Amino acid sequence: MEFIPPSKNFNLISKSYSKRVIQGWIILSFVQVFAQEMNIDGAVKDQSGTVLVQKVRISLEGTASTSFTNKEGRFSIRTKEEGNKILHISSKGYKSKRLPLILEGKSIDLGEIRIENSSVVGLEDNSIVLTEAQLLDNDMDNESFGVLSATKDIYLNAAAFDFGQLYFRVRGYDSRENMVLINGVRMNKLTNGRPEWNNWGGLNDVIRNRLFSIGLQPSSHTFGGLQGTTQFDTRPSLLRAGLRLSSSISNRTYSGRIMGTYTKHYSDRLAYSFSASKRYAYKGYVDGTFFDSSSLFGSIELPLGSDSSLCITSFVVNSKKGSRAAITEEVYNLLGGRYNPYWGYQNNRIRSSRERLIKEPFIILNYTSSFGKLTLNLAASHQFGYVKQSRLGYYNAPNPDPVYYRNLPSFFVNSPIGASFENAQIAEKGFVSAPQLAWNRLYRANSPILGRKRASYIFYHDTNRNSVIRINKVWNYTGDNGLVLDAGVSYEKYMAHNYAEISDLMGAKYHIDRDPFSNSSNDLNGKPEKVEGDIFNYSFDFNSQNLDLFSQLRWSYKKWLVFVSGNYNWRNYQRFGRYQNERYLQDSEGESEKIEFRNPSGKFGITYFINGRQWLNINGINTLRAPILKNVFVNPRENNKSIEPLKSEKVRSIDFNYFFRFPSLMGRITGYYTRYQNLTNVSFYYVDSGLGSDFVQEVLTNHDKLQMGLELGLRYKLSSDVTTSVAMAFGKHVYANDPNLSINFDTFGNNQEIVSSYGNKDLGKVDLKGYKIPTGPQTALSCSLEYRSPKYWWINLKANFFAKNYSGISLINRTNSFFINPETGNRFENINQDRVKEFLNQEVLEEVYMINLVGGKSWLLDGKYVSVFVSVNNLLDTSFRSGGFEQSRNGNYGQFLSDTKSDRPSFGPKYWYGFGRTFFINFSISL
Amino acid sequence: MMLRLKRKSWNKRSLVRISLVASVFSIGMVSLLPSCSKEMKEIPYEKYCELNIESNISMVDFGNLYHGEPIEITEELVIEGFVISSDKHGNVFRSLYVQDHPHRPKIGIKVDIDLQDSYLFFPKGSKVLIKLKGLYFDKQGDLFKIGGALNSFGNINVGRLPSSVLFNHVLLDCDNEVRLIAQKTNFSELEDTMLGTLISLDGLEVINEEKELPYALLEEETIRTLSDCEGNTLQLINSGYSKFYNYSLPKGNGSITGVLTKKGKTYRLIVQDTSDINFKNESCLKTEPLQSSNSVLISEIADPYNNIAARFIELYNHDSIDINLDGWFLRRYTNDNLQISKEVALTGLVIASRKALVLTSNAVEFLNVYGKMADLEISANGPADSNGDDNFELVDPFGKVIDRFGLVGEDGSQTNHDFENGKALRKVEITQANSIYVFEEWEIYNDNDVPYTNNGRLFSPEDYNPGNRH
Repeated sequence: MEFIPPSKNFNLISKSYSKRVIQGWIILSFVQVFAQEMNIDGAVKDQSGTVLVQKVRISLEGTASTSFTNKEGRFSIRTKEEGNKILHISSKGYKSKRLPLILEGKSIDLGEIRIENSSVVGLEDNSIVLTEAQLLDNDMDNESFGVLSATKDIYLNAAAFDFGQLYFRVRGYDSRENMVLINGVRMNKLTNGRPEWNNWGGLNDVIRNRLFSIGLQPSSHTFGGLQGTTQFDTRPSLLRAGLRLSSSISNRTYSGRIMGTYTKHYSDRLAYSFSASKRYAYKGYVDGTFFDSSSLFGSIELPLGSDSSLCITSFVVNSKKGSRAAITEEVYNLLGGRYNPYWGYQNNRIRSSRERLIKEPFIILNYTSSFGKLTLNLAASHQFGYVKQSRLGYYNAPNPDPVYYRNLPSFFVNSPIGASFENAQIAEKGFVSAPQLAWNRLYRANSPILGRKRASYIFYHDTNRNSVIRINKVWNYTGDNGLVLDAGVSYEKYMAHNYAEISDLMGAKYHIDRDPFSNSSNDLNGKPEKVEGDIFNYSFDFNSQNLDLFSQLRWSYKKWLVFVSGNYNWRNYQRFGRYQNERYLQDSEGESEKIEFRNPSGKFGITYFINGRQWLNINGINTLRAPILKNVFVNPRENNKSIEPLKSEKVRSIDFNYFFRFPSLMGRITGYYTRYQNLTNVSFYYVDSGLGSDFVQEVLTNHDKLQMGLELGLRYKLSSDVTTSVAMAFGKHVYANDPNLSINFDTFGNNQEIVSSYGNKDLGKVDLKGYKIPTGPQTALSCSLEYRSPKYWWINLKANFFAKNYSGISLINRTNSFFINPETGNRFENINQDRVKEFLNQEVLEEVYMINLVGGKSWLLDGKYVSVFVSVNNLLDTSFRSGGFEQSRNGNYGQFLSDTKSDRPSFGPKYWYGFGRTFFINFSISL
Repeated sequence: MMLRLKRKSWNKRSLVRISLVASVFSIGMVSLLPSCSKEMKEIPYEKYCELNIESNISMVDFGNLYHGEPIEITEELVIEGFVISSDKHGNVFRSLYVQDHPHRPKIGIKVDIDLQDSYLFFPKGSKVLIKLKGLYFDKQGDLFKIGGALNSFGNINVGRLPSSVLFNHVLLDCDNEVRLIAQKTNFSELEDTMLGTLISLDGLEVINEEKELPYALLEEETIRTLSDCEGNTLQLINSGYSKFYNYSLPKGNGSITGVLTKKGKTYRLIVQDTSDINFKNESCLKTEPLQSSNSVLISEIADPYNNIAARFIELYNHDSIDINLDGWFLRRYTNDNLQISKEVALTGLVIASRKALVLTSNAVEFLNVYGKMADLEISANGPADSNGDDNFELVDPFGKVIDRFGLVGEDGSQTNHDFENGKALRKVEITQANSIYVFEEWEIYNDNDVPYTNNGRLFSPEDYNPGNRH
C-alpha cells in the first residue's frame, strides 16, 4: 500500500513510466465551507494509461461511501463528509492506493489516477517459502502450524514472516480455523479440517490475487472460520500479462527453485495463463530432509457475454520430501539441532525412511455472472490423487531407529541392573560415529544369501487415495441502500481409500502380513504372503459428505456497518473396512454406522466509524461443528468403532478491534476471546502405564480450551523513505477443564502385561485445567525498520522476541493411573510430592531473540522489469527450540522415578530445534 | 445459462495458439513431471560384509592373554571366528557363541551383546571378524567372554556390548561358503578347551524322571538331565522364554548338537532349537515298568490341634515288594469340591515293602516336631495340609483310583470322615486298599463330637506316629 503525503501542490499525474512508484497529487479547491453533499470524481487507469479490464473499487475510509469505476474507468462518489478523509482505491491484481483528502464541502475532480499492477516483487512473493518450512513436520501427530499468507494487515504480515520460524499460531488457532478457497472452491480437507498448502506450492505467481478476511470479519463467499478466510482468485484476466521467469537459491526447505508463468490477455476478455515451477533440494536445512516438487498450472478464461465468464483451471503439484524428527536433549547435545534420525546412506545416496509424497491434482470449473446488482458464482471441482507417508516396518527384528532408547548412552545409565558409565561411553562413541539409519544392515537381515526369505524389514507407504467433488454456488446482491446480501450452497463428497502398501521388500522374498506384537493376522481373507505393490496391514474406506447453507446480510448506514450471517451444516462420516483382521473379527470388515451431524452457526459484527480515521469493531461467533474425521473413529485402521459419546464441537468467540488510519500512523489493536467445548481427540502410542504395557489409542472427550489475548500491529512513517512497524501478540491459551481420558487397545494374544481384558479402560479425569496449550510462543514481539530508496531498492531489518512457548504434555501421566503400581495394582507407597510436582510441571521453552533482514532491488532494463530479493533469517544464528512435547512412555510414577533419577532420561521430552542462519535469494524477470 | 462463447473474431491464429497451449499443458499433466523416483537399487552383498579386514591373532593366542581378571583390550587385535549359536528360537538370548574353526575348533568364545534377533545379522555358520580394541574380556566359569562394560560394586566386568558399536566390532566376513560341522565327541573326551564350541554327542536320552517334562518352565531357566546308557550325565539348559519351552522333551535315544558350557564342575549343553536333538533310537535306560498295587494305601492323615504346620499324610505298602511310585498321584478334594483341588505326582518315590511313606507340607517343622525326616515335602493346601474336612484319592499310573478317603463332593465336617484337630488312622488289620471309603476301616478322631468317631483334640507329637503302621 502506498502512502501519499498530503500536499497543497497542484500537480497532475507524472508522465514518467517508472514502474517503481507512481506519485499522485491531490487537487484541492477552496470554496464554500458549509456542509453539503458533494462529489468526488476521477478516473482510474493502470500504469500505462489504459483503462482497466475490471471494476475498480473506490471508497472513503471511515465511511460507508463506496463506488465503482465504469467502462471508461470513471468514478463518482457522493458524500456529505467534511474534513480529513482518505480515499481508498483498490482492484484485484493491482496495488491499492490511499489518497488523503481535505474535504470542504465543494466537489472535487481528482483527474486521472494511475494504479500499478502488483507485480513488484516483495515480501508477498516469498511468503510461501516460509509456510513450506512449517509443513516439513506434518509427520508429527497433533501438530499443525498456523500457516499464513502475506496480507496487508501489519500484524498478520509480521506473524507470517517473522513469527513463522517458531511456528507461531495466530490466536493459537490450528490451521483448520482458516478457510482457504481457490476460485471459490474450499481447500480445507474434511479429514482434518486443514488446507493442504502443498497442493498449490510453487504456484506463487498465480495465487497473487487474494482476498483476505481477518478473524471474524465477513467474507462474501463463505461463512468462514475463526481465523478468517483466504480467497485466491487465479483467473488469468487478473494476472499480469506477459512472461515472468524467476529463479531462487536458498538453504531453507529447498535449495533451488525455478518458476515460469505466461499469461495472455485478449482484448475481448479471453485470457489464458500457464505456470510451471520446480523446487529441489538434495538436502534441506535439516539433514536428510530432501525436497523435490514440480508444479504445473493452466487456466483458460472465456467470456460468455458482457457480464459472464467461464473459467477452467487445472493444477497439480507433485511433491516429495523427507521428514525430520523431534529429538531429545541427549541427542541434541551429542549431534546438534540439524540431526535427523530418519535417513541413512544407501549406495552413497541419502535415503530417507520418512518421506511424504503428495500429488492431488485439481480441475476447477467456474462460471461467474452478474445481472445488475446480483453476482453469481458457480464453482465445481474434482480433486483426486494421493497422499503417501512412508515408514520402515520391522517384524520380529531389532528396531532400526538409530535413536531407539537402547542405542543411546542414557540406556546404560538408567539400566535397571545398575548404571554402567563405561558402557555408556562406549555406546556414546558408537552412536556418534554412526548415527544414521544403517540401510545396509537392514538389507542384510533380509538377505536370501544369508538364508532369509521372509522380510524382517520393509519400506512401505501409508497411503490415502482420494477423490473429492466440490460444488458450490454463491449469490451476492449489492442493494442500493447500503445493503449487501450473500448466500451460498456448498456441497462436498469425499471418498478415500486408506491402506498401507509395500513399496520395497528390501531384498526379501515376501512379507508375512501379521501384526508382530499380538501375532495375529491382518488380513484373514487374503493371502498371508505379500510382495511389493501389495496392500497389507490395513485397508479401509472413508466416505463423507458435507453440505453447507450459508447466508449473510451486511448493512451500512451512516457511521455504522453491521453484518449478521448464519450457516447450517450437514455432515456424515462412514467407514468401510476392506480387511477382516483377527483382532476384531466382527468389527473390522464392512460398513460402520453412518455418523451424522447437523449443526447451525451464527456470526455477527458491528463496526462504528468514529471518524474517517478511526473505527471500532466488535464481532462474535457461536458455532457448533462436526468433529474432524480423525477424532471420530477410535482406531479406523483396525475397526469401525467410533468414540462415545460423540458430540459436536461448540465454539464461541468474540473479538474487539480498534483500527486507526492516520496519514503517517496506521494499525490495529485487537482483543480476542475464544472458548472451545466438547472437543474430542484421538492419539496413538506405546505406554508402560500403571495398568500394564501396550499400544494404546488415547481418546480424550469433553475437552475444553480457552484462547484469549491481545494483538497489536502498527506502522509509522518516520519519513518519506523510512517506516517502522511494530507487531505484538500477547496470548493466554489454556486448557479450560479436566477432560475425560480412556485408552483403547486390542486384547488379542500375549501382550506384555494385560492392561485389562475388555479392550477399553476409562482412566477418568485428566488433571489438565490451567495447563497451557502448546501453540507456539504465546508472546511475540516484532519491531522493524524499513528503508525504501527512491532508487528502487529497499531494506528491512526486523528484531523479534518470543516467549511463553510451552511444551506439549502427556495426558496419561496426569490421570490417577499414573500413581498405580502396575505390579501390585495399588497406589505406589511413599510418593514424594515434591518430585511429583516437579515432573508434572509444564516446561516452558527458552525465550528467543531473533534478527531477520530482507531487502531487494529492481531495474527496468530495456523495457523488461528485473528484480532481486534477498532474505536472511536468524542473522545472529541463535540456536533455539521451536517446540517440544513430553513422551508418554513412562506412564506410571515408579517408572518415571527410575527413568529420571539420572539426569539423562531415556524417555525424556523431545524437541524441534529451529533453523540457524538461513538465506533466500530470488531473481525474477518480467517480459 | 447460455454457454455461447461470445467472441468477436475467432481467428485462426488465436485458435491455434489456444489449442497449442492446451495440448502442451495436457501433455504436461499426463506425463506429470515424473517424481524422480529412481528405483532404489538393491544393496549388493559386498556392501554389508567385510572384504578387506583380516585377523591378526588367533583366538587361541588371544585366549592366552587372559591373566585372571577382567581387562579392557587396548591393542588393535582382530580375531576371526564362526558363529555357532542362533537366538532365532529364543533359547540363546543376547549372546553370540563363536569358535575359531568351522569343524576342528580349539577354542570358543561367548560375546555378550545388547541385541535380540542377532541371527538376522550373524546367522549360525557365518564367519565373523571381531575387532577387539575397546572390548572387555573375562573368563566366566571357564568360558571366555567378551563384550561391553558392566559396573558391579565398583568393579568392571564384562557386560553387554551396546548395539550402536556392535557392528563396528563384529563384522560379517564376505566368505559365506563355510560349512559349520559340530565336533563329534563323547563323554570321556569332554574337556574345558571345548567350552564355547559346537559339539555333538550320540547315545543320549532324557533321564526317566524327566521324560514327561517340558523343555522348560515358563520364564524360568530350567536344567534338564541327559544320560547315556552307562549312566553318564550331562545337563541340558533351556530358557523359559524360548519358543519351544513348553514342548515335551523328546523320547528315545540319539544324538544332540549344542554349544558346550559349564557350571561349576558340570558340563552343560545349549541347543538352538528342537531340531538339534535327534533321538531316533530306542531308549536304553531301564525304565521300571509302571507298577500298580492294591496293597499301597493311605494309612494316616494328621491334623494336630496344636500345630497346623505339623500336618502330614502317610502311605503304607503292605505288598511284599517295593513299589515304584512313578506315575502315581495323590489327590485332594478340598471340602465339597467335585473337582480335584490339588494333585501331587509321586514320581521318583519308591515305597519300600512293609514300609511307610510320609508326606508333609513343611519338612522343617515336621523334623522339629517329630524328630525325623518326612519322605517328601509337598506344597501347602495339598494332601499333606488338610484341616480335616477334605477328601483324598490315591491313583495308580494307569489312572485307576486305588484308595480313597472320604466322599468326593461331601465336606468332611460333621461326617464320618471328619478328622479336624485329630487324625484319620487306617486300622492295622486293613492290608488292602479300597477304592470306596468304608468307615469301618478307619479310626477317626476329631473334636467336633461327631457320632461314632473318637472325640477329643489330638496334639503333636505325642498323639501321632508318622512312619509307623500302628
